[in-house]
Amino acid sequence: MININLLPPELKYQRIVAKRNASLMTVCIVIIFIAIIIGVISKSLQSTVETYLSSTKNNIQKNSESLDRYQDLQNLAVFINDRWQTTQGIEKKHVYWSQVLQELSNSAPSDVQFESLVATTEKTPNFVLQGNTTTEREIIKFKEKLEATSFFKNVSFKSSSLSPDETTPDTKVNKLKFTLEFDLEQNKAEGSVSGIKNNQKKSQ
Amino acid sequence: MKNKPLGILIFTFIVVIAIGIFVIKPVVSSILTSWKDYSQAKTNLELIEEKKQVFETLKNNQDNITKVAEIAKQYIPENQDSGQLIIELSATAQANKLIVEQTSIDKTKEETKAAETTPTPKASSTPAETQLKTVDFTMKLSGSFQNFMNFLKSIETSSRLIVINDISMQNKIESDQASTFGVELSGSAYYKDKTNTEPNLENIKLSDDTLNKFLNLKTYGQPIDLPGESGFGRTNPFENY
Repeated sequence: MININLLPPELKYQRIVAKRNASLMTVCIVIIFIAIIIGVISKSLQSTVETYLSSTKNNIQKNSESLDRYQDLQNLAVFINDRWQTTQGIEKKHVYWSQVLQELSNSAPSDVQFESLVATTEKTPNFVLQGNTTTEREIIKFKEKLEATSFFKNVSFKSSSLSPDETTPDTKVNKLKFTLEFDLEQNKAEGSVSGIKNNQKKSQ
Repeated sequence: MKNKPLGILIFTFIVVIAIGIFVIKPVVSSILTSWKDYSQAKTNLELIEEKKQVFETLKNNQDNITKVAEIAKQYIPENQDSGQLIIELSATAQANKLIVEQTSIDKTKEETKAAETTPTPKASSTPAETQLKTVDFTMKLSGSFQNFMNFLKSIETSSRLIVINDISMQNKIESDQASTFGVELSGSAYYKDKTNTEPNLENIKLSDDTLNKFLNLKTYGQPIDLPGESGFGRTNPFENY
């Protein structure tokens, strides 16, 4: 079947334009409607977020008030942590001299006697040791032993001189006076500060 | 007739723009602000709740914490307490059978080096050590090497933080061949008048390690047995061989 539009061309054109305008109008109404919907949804979302915000703020207010009664406890905790942090800083340079001197005594050969020892953390060499011994071999043994320990470094032999031993009545007996200089490498025995850990291990 | 579609489009455009500008934009902007505030408030609430939990834990351990705070206050006091320091040093020396020939307090100074060496101050704007001050002292002692070693051990485990900086030991031979052991030492004790640690969540948490450090002060720096070797090692290296 063949449809033949017998309308005059102007009328035909008018109808096409009217249809097109109607479609355009529909599309525009839909767009405006969508814009209105978005606006309504936004308003609703705004109200929801504001409700949440208000509720959270109320909770903060309530909890903050309840925290006030812990003020003393907070001061104590902050004080302890402050002292702990301070102690940690000091511990880095704290020399445990009892351990250092014990290591020094342990490193001394049996034929070595200390006469004087100057130890300082302020300047190098950290140690100036003057002592007496029987032979130069003992000094070298002592020097090598000090170098081998983890506590001391840069051990240097400064001088030695032979002099009569005044501690014995025999005037023929001589002693070798010597001076050694060295630096501190380690300010405490490894693991010594964790005395706590050692105790915990023991208790386990 | 030809201008009608254009009119529709312009009208729609104006209406949409008007809705956008006068309704959607302020609302969206308000939502964004409220959302940011809400997120911030939520974080704050979480922090407060966590803080509350921490406080509850601390409250259960309150006796211990009070005790630790007292120990910490003695370890690094708020005042220089130099008189007390002298008494403590002299008493420790005498308890270890040393003769105190001289004791003096040198000066008080602010400690700045410790601040530089601090690893990570917990979220504090100024390092905790900036208020740290030292009381410097010198002592002249005589006795025996072994007693001096015991004195050092006592100082290292004392209830107040005392650091020895310089030691000068000498074995003096007297005219009658008897020798006396003499020591001059200088050191520092610390004090801090202000606590400038911020009371944030990190700084109110107390770890067991922190509490144990103060509770076990006597074990801190506990001397350990360093192994000897045959041919080496002297109990008193200042004694004649």
